[in-house]
Amino acid sequence: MAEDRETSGSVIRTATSGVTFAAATAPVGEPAIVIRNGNLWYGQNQALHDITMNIPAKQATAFIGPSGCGKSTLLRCLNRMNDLVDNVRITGEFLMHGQNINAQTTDVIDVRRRVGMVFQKSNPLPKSIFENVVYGLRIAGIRDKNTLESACERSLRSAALWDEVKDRLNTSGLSLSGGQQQRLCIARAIAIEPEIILMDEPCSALDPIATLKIEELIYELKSDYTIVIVTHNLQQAARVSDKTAFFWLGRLVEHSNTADLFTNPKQKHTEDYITGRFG
Amino acid sequence: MSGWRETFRRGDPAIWLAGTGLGTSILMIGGMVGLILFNGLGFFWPKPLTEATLKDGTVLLGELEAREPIPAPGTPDHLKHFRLQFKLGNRDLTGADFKWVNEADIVKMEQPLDAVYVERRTYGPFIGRLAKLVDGDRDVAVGSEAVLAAMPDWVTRAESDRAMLRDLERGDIGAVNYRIEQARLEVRALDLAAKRQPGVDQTASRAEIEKTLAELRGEYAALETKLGQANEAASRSRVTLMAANGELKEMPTIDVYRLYAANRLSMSGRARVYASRLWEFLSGDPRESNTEGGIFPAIFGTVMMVLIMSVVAVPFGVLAALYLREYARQGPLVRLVRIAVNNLAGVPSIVFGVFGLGFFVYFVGGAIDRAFFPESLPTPTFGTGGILWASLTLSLLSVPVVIVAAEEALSAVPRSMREASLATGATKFQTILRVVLPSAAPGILTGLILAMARGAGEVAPLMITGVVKLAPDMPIDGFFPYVHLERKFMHLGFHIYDVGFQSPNVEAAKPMVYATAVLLLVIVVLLNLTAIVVRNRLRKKYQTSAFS
Repeated sequence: MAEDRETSGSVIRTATSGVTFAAATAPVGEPAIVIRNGNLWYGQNQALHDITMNIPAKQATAFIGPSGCGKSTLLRCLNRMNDLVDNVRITGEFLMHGQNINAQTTDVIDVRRRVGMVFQKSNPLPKSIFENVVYGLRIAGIRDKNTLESACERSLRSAALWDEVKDRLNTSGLSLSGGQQQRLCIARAIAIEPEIILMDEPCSALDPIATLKIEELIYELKSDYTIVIVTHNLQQAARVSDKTAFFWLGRLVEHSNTADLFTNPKQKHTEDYITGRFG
Repeated sequence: MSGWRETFRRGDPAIWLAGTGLGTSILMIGGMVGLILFNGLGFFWPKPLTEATLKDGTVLLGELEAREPIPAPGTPDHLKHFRLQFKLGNRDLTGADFKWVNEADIVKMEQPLDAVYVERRTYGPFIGRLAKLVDGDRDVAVGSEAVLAAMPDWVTRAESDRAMLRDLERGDIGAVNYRIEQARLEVRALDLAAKRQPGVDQTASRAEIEKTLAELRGEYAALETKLGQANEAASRSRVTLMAANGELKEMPTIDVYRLYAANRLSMSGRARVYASRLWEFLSGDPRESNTEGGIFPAIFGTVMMVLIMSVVAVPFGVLAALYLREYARQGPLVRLVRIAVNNLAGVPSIVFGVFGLGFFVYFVGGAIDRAFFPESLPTPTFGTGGILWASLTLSLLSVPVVIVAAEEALSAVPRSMREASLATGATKFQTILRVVLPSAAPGILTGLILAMARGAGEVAPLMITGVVKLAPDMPIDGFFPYVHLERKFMHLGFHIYDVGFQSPNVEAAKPMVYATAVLLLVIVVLLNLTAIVVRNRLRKKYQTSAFS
């Protein structure tokens, strides 16, 4: 599987400009992303204060905290989605393979191919299921039908959606149910073989059964991918993640193994939050 | 008081007010369209012919057009008596097509079965009776009934003769004329070349052209003789008509376009006359300074102009909107540009026309003439009004509409969809091309619909950039390069103005105005319907979601 990814990855990673990343993937447990003194301002408003943390490779890291605490903002720093917002200023280092993601010279396209993202609201493109999955590959210039078809099947299987849609790959992605749409978005994200998948509250708009399916999927995926998930659902964080980080008012309050954080929080704030005393 | 306040609070007056507003609008629009449809479509229906004998012995024969009370302010007879309007035709004999008659003066009114309505090439319709039909020296038929029975064959023959003559004139002679003109231009080009480089020997090429020219002149003379003979052959058969007052009028059968005994027509006969008139109106060339015949050149000109306009306006408008919405840094400057664009949509169209004349026709067209057609000067080729310049002027006028609509469509594409594309490693350009533009396409088409509706209805700017009363040559024909964008053209809107207000015989032309207005409405509706169908298809294809 890893070799597989290397080959298709090399197909994708052509024709980029700017500084790109070394090809090697970090081994399990080693930091996939290192954040040093990350600060972020929206205009005059500081949203992230001096964040320093490591995100381990091939494990799931959960970001928890009350609304507006900066967890989604931090997530969007990891694939430069904050570029879309006007008046954002970022300082500090967000290192992937030793290269600062947010540096001016870094190739944004390369970052986004390596760091996939699944959004809060499922957002399939107004195209067929097949075209949705292979969108990233087509964007990267892959035209070969066999490559696209096998990538589509592999991604849909990985996203546990293949059996449900294999007979109607040409129908619109918008015809699927909410949970299926979200899994389609996950398939789209993994089709381009990223190293890291960011998930911004992927289950917040889903019913409990669909949520369960996505959680099982995350559990599966983390053996191959580094996963960062933002969630408001503490049980979910406890169920799927290996590490959990608690944010409050733009600061990282506590970051440790999930089991430790939920059973034995070191900080008073964390304890108050996970026991439901505030937030 | 409190009851009224309660009613007001519930909002009932708002419903009444809004309903009244909508009702009034529908009434006004429906009334206008209904009036145009009634008058325009009724025009082709054959009316019965009435013969009226007056007290003084005068006999009038014609269609009864109107009946109205006679105003006589201050006398007891005010609006008590009525008068009738007859459409008499026979302009060549009496000088006027229409006549008002006091009802009191009429002794007798009847609908004679042998009265005929004749549509002919000149002088408007003839209304009277048939007297005699001759072919050369031979009498084919004498007497009303006999001639009426014989005429249909001769009318059909006249039609094919006219087609034959037209083919000869437009086709063969037109082609020779065109080649003679080309040869003349070649000589002119040689003259100009000689002026630039006096030393070069041109005798060979001049002799060559002279030779072709001589051949062409020979061909032309032969064709002209042939045309003369054909004309003579076609005008050998003549029909004699008798007006209501007994006056006789002889004319060649080739001049007869349509002939029917109005009072004898059955319902299906009337319908046939109606259909044939309608078809002539849609497909034929105008006659009698546009007051009769068809308006096909105007339909063609209008549609072609709108299409050229759309082809130019839409890409420019969409590109401008793309820059404004997707690339430009949103700030005071962009806001200013946006305000300017919105205001541009409100500039009077005649201003665009004047600009088009000055910029496109004189500046651009003049430059093209000097660069590419120096041998035709001083006769301008592109340096005069033409369908290209009129279309470009109209695109200028409709581009703001497209920009505004396209901008709205672009901003309606949800951010989540752009994020989905960007997060898979697409560049901004790829995202715009593959996601944003397809999703915005229905909205952009709405802009196109608005632009087309506006463009098709404009007349003022066209009057000074290329529309003419009568354009014998269409912008597309069989001569290289087949599409002649420099040619002047006819336009339905201008046709309405011209026929209604510039024609020598306004009363006779009135129905034509209505009919043309109907047609213009129909064409605008058809163009819009096409765009709407395309838009709905796209909308179905790129529907974002059932819930959002």
